[in-house]
Amino acid sequence: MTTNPAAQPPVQGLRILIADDNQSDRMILQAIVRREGHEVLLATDGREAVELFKQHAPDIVLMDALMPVMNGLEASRAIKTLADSDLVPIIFLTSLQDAESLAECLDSGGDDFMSKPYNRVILKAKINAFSRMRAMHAQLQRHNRQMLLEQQVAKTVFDNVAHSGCLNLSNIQHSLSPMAVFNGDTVLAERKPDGGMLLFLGDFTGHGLPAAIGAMPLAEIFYGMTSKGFSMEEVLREVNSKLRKILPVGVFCCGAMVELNFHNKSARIWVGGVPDVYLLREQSGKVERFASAHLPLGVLDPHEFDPHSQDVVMHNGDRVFLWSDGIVESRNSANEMFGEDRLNQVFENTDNPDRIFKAILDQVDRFMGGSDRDDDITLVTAKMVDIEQIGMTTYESNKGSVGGPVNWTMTLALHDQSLAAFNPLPLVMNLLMEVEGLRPLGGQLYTLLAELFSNALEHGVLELDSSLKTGPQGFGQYYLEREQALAALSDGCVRLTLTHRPLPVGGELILEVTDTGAGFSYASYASEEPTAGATSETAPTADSAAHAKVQWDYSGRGISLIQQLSDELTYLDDGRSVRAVVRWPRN
Amino acid sequence: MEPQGTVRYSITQREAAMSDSDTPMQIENHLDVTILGELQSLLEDDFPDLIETFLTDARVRVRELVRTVNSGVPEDIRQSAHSFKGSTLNVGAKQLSDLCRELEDLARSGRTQGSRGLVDRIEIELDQVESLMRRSYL
Amino acid sequence: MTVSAIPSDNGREMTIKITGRFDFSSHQEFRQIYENASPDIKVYTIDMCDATYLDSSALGMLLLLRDHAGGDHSEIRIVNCNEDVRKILTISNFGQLFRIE
Repeated sequence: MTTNPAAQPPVQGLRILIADDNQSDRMILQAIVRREGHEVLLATDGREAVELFKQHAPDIVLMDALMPVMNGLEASRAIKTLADSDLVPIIFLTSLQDAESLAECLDSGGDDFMSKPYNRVILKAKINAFSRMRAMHAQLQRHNRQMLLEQQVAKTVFDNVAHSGCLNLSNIQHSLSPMAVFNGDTVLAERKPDGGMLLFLGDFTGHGLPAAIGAMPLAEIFYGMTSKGFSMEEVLREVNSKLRKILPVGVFCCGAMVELNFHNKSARIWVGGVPDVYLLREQSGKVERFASAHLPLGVLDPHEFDPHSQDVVMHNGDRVFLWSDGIVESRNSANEMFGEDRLNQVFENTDNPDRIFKAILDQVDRFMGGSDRDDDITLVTAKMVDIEQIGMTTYESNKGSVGGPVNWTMTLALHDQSLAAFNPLPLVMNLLMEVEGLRPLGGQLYTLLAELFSNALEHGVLELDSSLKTGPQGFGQYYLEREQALAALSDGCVRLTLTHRPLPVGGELILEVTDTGAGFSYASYASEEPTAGATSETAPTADSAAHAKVQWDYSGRGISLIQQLSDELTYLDDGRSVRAVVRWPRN
Repeated sequence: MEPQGTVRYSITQREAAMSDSDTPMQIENHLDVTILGELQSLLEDDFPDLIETFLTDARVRVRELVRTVNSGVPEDIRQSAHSFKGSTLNVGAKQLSDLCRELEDLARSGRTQGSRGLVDRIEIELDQVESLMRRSYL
Repeated sequence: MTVSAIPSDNGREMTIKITGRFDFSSHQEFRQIYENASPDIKVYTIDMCDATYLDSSALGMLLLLRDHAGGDHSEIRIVNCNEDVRKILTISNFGQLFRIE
């Protein structure tokens, strides 16, 4: 864009509307304007001016203030309304002298004055100046339209990447403006293959495309890894290192991630740079706060990043609340912030916990004077429920191959260092999902594998006492000890052997998991579940829905769940080895 | 353009005060010849048309002034005086526009006393302007 | 909002004083200050005594300064924070990267 007006070529060929009730004045103006090479439209009163404006859309209007029928003030208001977002400069022709009358002309939409007697040089300069302003305005509008178009495309791509995950589940409520991604705000939720759920709320630095651009890889990683069964720590690590790698220094993502486990009723909470995550206890109505303990995502190098979460036991009806600073920092007309105190009052004053979500939005809206800004509030809350209420996960698999490998065996032995640093489940699941007949069973197979593997690792190799998990404190304690034991591990091994073979109808998968631990007395666990024999080769009893009804024995080894997921379950070698058989199709 | 005109105007006034019988001085007492000169070169062949249009319109406006003064509503007087003032300014009839402004100011203050006298002077001035214009510009 | 820089007598340190809201509008100004600073300057002090507020863009600017001043080897102090400013620095755990006093 040229900024030096002197460098502009003379403006010509505009269409200029002249509205004046005096014929000799009209003649003079017309002559001046024509002499400058513009086209002239003539109106003798305000109404005619508005009509001519509608028909011919002139570029600039020269308007007498006092005219019969409709005066210039009224006409200019009408023309400005018709012009909408186009800039149509109106120059008032006036011999008015008093400041008040002149101000009234500008208030009614006039852009400038021209006093009588008309001066040709001044009028020419004014027309040129407004013509430049019009050109700039048009260019701005083109840029703006272009930007909106680009945002729309970016938004479509983002929506395809981010879709809505499982945000529409009955135990989740969220508020996110449709264009929030351009404010840097993101809310994501996805089921894990074992039925659990990962919840993420993020707030990127800045606004517009720069703020939105990091949200796409973040969503891609979040959905991809969560649905494949990676743990929250692994998802966080990957998100952090990806953002660190692709975003410029100074652009990062404040966020909170929560993993809900509906089987053992627990949550893991990670907060980096957003306000406290709230955990509302339904029974007591009390709120527990989880403060930000980490730098935002994308700041630290991968080796410095800390994905450790705070672990907590939940009960049905307990809720977590995640938000960006938008709520607390909402401002009213007096520029006061909504603040934490008002937020806490919403929790104190709302008896029905189901209504708190809406109460927060209402209160912020009311505080801001009902200016309809709650569209900009980013908030997500999720409730702990029994898994039946939200159903099991359908394992996401985009594998297209028909049939796949039919008869094969794979053994994967993980030794001490690998056990501390590597999660084999996604890799193994990836292979299992190559088998066409196993794809519908993805969620169950994942849960089965996860249970068998963690039993072998935690109770076998690490020799952790499962009774530690009893009670709210014990749960966190358990994970702490697990971490310490893993870090100190110097020998030990978990061996996974998977065999698949075809049957006359369908096929059969045999999972064998062996550890180097001390073994355990499986008979005592088997007695907990008298209806299904843990040691005998029984006929298939569990149907696909039954596992959801299993009461999770979280103090133990989840054996009753394992039994329901498999057609046969056998413990060997004093409990150091377990063999589970799954046949498909399951009926 | 404008500053030159202003300088000329002030000199003219002083000269006019010294002698009011001289014909060129008399013209400049009533008309701004700079403005008229500019209009002449701007409108070229249409210039006589402009003068005729102004004079015809001016007669209508003066009749309107007489009517409003007779009816005695200050706001009506103010508006018609204001309107007429605008067109007289544009053709450089400076004495006429001064009289219109005087009448406009009077009406704005809410008074009507003296307005009839002013309208009479406006009518006489218009006659002067017409004859000067016809003599010098048509 | 304004940003002003006061170099120390020994030429090795610089104090950057923030006045008013520290947000995206000060991006250019803030960057120019440290980019035009003498290469001898090793220690930076951000004086927040007149800063009323900072947003995430301001946190980004602090990271840019840290990067400029040598990343993990940088020496940057943030001093005289009011309660609001301190809270924002605490939530984002910037204490891990800067000396907040």
